Amino acid sequence: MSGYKRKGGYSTRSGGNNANHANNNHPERYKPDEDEGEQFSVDGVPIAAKKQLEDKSCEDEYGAKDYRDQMILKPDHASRPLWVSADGHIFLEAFSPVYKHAHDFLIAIAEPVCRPEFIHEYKLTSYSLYAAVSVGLQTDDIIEYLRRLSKTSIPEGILDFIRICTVSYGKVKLVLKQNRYFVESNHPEVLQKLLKDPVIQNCRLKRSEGEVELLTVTTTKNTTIVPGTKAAEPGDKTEVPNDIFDFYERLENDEEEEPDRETKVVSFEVMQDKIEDIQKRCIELEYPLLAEYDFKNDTHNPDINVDLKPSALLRPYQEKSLRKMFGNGRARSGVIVLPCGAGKSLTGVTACCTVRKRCLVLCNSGVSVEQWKAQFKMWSTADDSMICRFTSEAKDKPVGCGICITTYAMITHTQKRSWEGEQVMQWLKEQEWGIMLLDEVHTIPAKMFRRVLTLVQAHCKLGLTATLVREDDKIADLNFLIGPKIYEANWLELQKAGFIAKVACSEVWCPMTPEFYREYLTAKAAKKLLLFVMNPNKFQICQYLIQYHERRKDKIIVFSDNVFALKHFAEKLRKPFIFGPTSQAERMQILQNFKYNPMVNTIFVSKVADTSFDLPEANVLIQISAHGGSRRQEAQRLGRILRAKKGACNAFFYSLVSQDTMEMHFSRKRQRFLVNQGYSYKVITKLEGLQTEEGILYRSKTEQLRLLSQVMQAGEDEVEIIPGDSGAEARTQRRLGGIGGLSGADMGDVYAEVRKAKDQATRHPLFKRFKGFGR
Amino acid sequence: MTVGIQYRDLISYLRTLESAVLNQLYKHPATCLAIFRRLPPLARQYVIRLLHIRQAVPQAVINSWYDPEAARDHTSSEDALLSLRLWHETTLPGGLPGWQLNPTFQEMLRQALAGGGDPWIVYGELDKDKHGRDTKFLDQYAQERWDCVLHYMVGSEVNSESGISQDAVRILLHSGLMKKEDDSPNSKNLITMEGFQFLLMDTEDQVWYFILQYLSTVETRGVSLVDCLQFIFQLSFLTLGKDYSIKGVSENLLVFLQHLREFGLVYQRKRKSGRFYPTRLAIGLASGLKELQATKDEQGYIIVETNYRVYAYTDSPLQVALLSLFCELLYRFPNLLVAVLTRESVRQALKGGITSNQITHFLKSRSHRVVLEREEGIIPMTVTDQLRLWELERDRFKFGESVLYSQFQTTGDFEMLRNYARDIGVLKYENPQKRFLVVSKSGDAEVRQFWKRHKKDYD
Amino acid sequence: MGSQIQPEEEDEVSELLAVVLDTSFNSALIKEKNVGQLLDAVVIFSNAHLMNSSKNTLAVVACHPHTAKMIYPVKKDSIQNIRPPDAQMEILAHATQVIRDGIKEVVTSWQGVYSIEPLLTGGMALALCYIAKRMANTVGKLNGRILVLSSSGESAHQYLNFMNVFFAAQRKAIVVDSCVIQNDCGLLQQGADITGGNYLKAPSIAGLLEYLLWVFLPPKSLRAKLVLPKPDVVDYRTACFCHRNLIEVGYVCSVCLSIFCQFAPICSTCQTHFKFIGFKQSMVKKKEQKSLQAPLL
Repeated sequence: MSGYKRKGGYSTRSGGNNANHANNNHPERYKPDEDEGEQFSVDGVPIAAKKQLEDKSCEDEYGAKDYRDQMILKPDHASRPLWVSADGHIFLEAFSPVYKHAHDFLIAIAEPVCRPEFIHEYKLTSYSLYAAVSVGLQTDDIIEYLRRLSKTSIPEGILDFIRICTVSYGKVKLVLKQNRYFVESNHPEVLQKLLKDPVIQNCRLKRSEGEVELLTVTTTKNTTIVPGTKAAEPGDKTEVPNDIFDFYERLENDEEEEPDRETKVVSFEVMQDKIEDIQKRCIELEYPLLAEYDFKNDTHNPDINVDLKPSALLRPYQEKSLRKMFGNGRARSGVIVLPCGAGKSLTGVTACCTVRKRCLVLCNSGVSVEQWKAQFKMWSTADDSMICRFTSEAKDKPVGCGICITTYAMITHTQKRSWEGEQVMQWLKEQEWGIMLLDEVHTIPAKMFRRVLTLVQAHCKLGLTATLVREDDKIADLNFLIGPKIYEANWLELQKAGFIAKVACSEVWCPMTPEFYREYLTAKAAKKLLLFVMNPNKFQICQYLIQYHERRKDKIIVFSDNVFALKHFAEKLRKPFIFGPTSQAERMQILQNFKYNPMVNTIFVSKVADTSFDLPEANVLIQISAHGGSRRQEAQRLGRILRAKKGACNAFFYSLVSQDTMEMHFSRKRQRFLVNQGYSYKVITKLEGLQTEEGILYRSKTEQLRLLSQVMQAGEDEVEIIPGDSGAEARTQRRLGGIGGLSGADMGDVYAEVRKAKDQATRHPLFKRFKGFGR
Repeated sequence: MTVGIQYRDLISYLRTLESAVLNQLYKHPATCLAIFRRLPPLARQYVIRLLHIRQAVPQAVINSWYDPEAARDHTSSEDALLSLRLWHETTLPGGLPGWQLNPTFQEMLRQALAGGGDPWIVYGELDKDKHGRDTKFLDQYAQERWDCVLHYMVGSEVNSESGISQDAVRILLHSGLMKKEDDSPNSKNLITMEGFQFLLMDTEDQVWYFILQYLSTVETRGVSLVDCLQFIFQLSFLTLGKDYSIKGVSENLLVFLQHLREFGLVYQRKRKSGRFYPTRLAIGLASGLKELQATKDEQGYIIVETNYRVYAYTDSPLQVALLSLFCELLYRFPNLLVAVLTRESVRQALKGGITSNQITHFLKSRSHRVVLEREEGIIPMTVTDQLRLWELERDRFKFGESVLYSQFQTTGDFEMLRNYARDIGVLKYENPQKRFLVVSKSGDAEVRQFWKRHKKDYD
Repeated sequence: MGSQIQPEEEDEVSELLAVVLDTSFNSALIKEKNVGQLLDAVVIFSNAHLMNSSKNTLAVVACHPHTAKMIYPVKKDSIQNIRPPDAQMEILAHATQVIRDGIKEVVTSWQGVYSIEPLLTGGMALALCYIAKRMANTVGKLNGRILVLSSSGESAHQYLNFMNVFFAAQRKAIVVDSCVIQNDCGLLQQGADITGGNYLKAPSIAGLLEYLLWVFLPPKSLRAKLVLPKPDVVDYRTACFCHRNLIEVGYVCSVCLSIFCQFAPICSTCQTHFKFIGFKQSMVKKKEQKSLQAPLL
């Protein structure tokens, strides 16, 4: 480096789209004929939701976004906890005395980006603001509180953005009362506006001719007591600037206090079969309808007799999330985000017991169905007669049951069903479900979900998930279809409080053996994957770790995306394994053994386990093969072992990565999510004791070379596909498939001759002696 | 691959001086005190014990002083004293080997301890200063002045009385911390690799290095090195917040004082004042101790998170420039800088010669008070490990000079040579199929000879 | 499964030395007119400690029969006015002056008799409190030690106080050294043993400085590396509570552990009645028996 030069001068300000976003989509200017058609008619997502914040920053000489002239520091900035930057990112000091107030507020209005120990980062998006208003926060409240909490003045762009996104949301609700659907609002002018639209007029149900009046009802708000919760506790007043404290009190108690406050509500009735039309139309008009279910006054749907068992104790964050859901006496639809192992099932069961209407639970796989059934039986008074399962393997009699558990795949299955299956589907379609629980809601693509909505009618939809993060960022769509985010928990806080296990995350770097590396450098992309997964050093390390932890009496799960590797490792090490073709019964057997049998301490699983298995006893996770760079996947896997355990850190997560290969790069990407949650990844480059450990395989060169040849000859379709796990994920999925694979004629034996001849030329002379080595 | 900033401490510097110069230096108690304090603890004990003994002491006696377990400390103490010419070997009458303390050193140190001799020049009598200055003022002054130098290096000039003198610029250029862009007369000065490393050092180290560089040019201007050094040593034993006299100081030393004033080591209200105040920088100079930081109130301002984010509560262009050396900057707010440590940004710094230790030390020494109690360490262990790993990544290759032998006529030739090379342990690599082998450079001569001998036989 | 962590560099630790000086020089010393020499030795020794490292700090407590007073450092900041007339280091010159003035003040303020014991334990307690306060206020580690210089021999009257001081020092890892002149003091010996310090009896004033510099100047960490004189026998005699004599064999109250040289029916500290079951008979049987071996209840 010869000298240091400053990076180029200041870039010119981006000529803002200022004109646009202020004027666009203003309801008054909306003309029904204007063709902004394609965007939203398919998605069902309001345009404002797609708004991004304009980035009017200028870059300073280092390339950083320089907002100093838009933000003016307040004199008492030291006692305020956050900064708001003009691109919507908010930084919060976690060590500030005002942290608690600010944190709850920010969770409600913004999405967390990263939350390590001292400074958190959040992002304001249109979706998050929608969630905010749906919980009851008003535009002015949001702006005011943000102002008070901020160390500096708030950039104008942010204020505009907030206003635009919130001005029309949360004003109108779709309520089901006594089997009649009403469009309801506290703001009569909004309803008037809506009624001027011809489509909506069409949907309106007139009980008698000439009725044009809006129904005005004065209702009193009453609170619902969610079983198992306590009332909200008052905050403490230490060191908090008065203005912030007062405001916080007001917001926090907005829903619980004044139980007898009277509100004027205006509404009009709509026809039941036009529900979806009106919902779509309102979204187009930028007044998305919040779905709320007044289950207490629903006399049409019968109650089911299910209660929470007294032994079911809710943890504070579970209580909080449910309180927000049932805040105003009705059941809100939306998504609750809790880390894996933090008790999502209990939350779902409690919600169901609160609503006490027929409940439909949708899961990812057959195994999860079993898990949910077990959870229901454990936490509530429901018994076998009340719960019916509907999967390809288990079909209980649906008649007379209040809780039905099935999978997304089953519902959206388009091909022909068996007669029995057909009957059950019919029955499902005909029912009016009170509440629909959607487990792992982020795994389903929007398209599939829309199908679910057309097939099944539920008044209240509750999505449960651990991560709102998807690689393809289609979160907005999905959540507009279910409902806004109701609550999101902070992983690090839960860990500190002991609700989820403290995990030691490590990445173990396995050097490639020279022979494997040589092949890797010249191999095709498909083969590369296999090569760095089957690295003998990785095998050795895996074996070492397993032996080490088994000695400590830990329960170990080893993940592998790649079936070839999975089978090979498991067979070589003589451990049971579960993958796609494993039958349900065998799976259950293996899992039972894993749980209870002291001789079975290690199991190998493939991607099937990515979907809510419930394995409360595992505390070591070894990952030998990763799938692209999915953040969600890594987080999910961590959930397997994030069960609260007493005592110090005794949960371990190892990710084995082959050095100098693409795997390192993918691993870095994957970790990002966890690192942003506040976990830290340790890197291990050397394992003491590996050399002296007994019984480690593949020490000799010959063994390694034999393995290499096996790998080189391996078929090209060793990737497993889970039914239903398509859609968005497919884009990132790497398929080791050639034409041979698609046509089914991919057995290595058949075409072995041909391929071998081709490979011969590229093969290293060293391997010529292995010509004759077949499988 | 680190570029040396040598002479990091006093002792190594003094070792490089000639003995005549050293002896001159020892003629002032301040020097002796300064050196004394930098000796290893055991050596200091020996010196004190010998302080009042004028004649030589048998080595056997001194050897009886230390506990056998501390033999290593003893030898290193002996070496330290010897290399600094604080004592030398003699033979006692009677033939036994003995040690004798350097008489000048001995005398001066005694005077410093118990009194006697001539007063130090700065002890001159003074009236009370009408414009007395307190520590806070002095600290601020020192910081500002020193920052001017640093700002200049980074190229971000703060206005007011900034800009530094031509002399200072000359020193920067001379020391290799900056260099001229090109040979044209108006070319700018740019910072170099060494300059980067310099910037990341602690202030005390920086000042010391800078002064040393200054001193190496001082003789060319006809100023006595010894005088300057002695003056510096005197400064390091003064009290902060007190004024001292410079009456009777030579002209050359006065010029030196002015330079010290420019860099913030001393404060004078006016050039012609007969008094000056030493600042913290001067006092910490020769003692080399880092504890002379300002009060506990002066806080660090950097938080490093486990997700590699770096948050710095600063708006100072200098500090921002320093962070940009190895972080990628993301946001700038009026009182916060948001940056992130990425592989690319760190590698860039590593390529420039900065080590991961320097980065870690820099971040640690400026850590915000809230992270001081953190469980994972002031800087999370994962981050320091990762920095180290990125550094090690660049060291994957081991280079060794070797010689290639190829084009053997027959396999027999090849194998014979190969076996020989293997036997004497210099074979680095062989490829029997293509018949070539690689031999290390050091063993090449032997291999060559062997080949010559046997080739004749073969033919 | 470790990771690579870089070892931290080691820095020198700050040392705080508290000198507890018995200023009630006994008559023998005064006769020999050696007091000046003793004071010189003390002052130079203290200076040597300060000279050793810029991180070293000093405290001096003077103990007289009527008072124990800390004479260095003082609140009045007089260092601004010190301009040493010779080559002595400024801070040392300042210390010298302050200590001398302080001792003079303490000594001249007492007109009474010198046969009373000086308040050594009071001085030690003062020193301990000062050290503890400094330890709490310092960022980083601070090692403290106490050096007691006494010429007054045994001070058995202050036995309990001595024990309190020694154990308190032990808890805080503060070493208590003792240097006695001419007369042994068993209690100080015990203190050195308890806290891990050194005890030395200097036979005369001449050469005292050398003794001090050789034995007591090095800090604890360095003492392991040097060969230093060790006492072979520690005088573990304890003082009785009734007369304050040092005794080897005595009676111990089983409730409060007070020690008596003679038998008494009631413990003077806790008022327990001592019961002797077989006492009356043995008294009857052997009236003149002096050594009583009756078990105490």
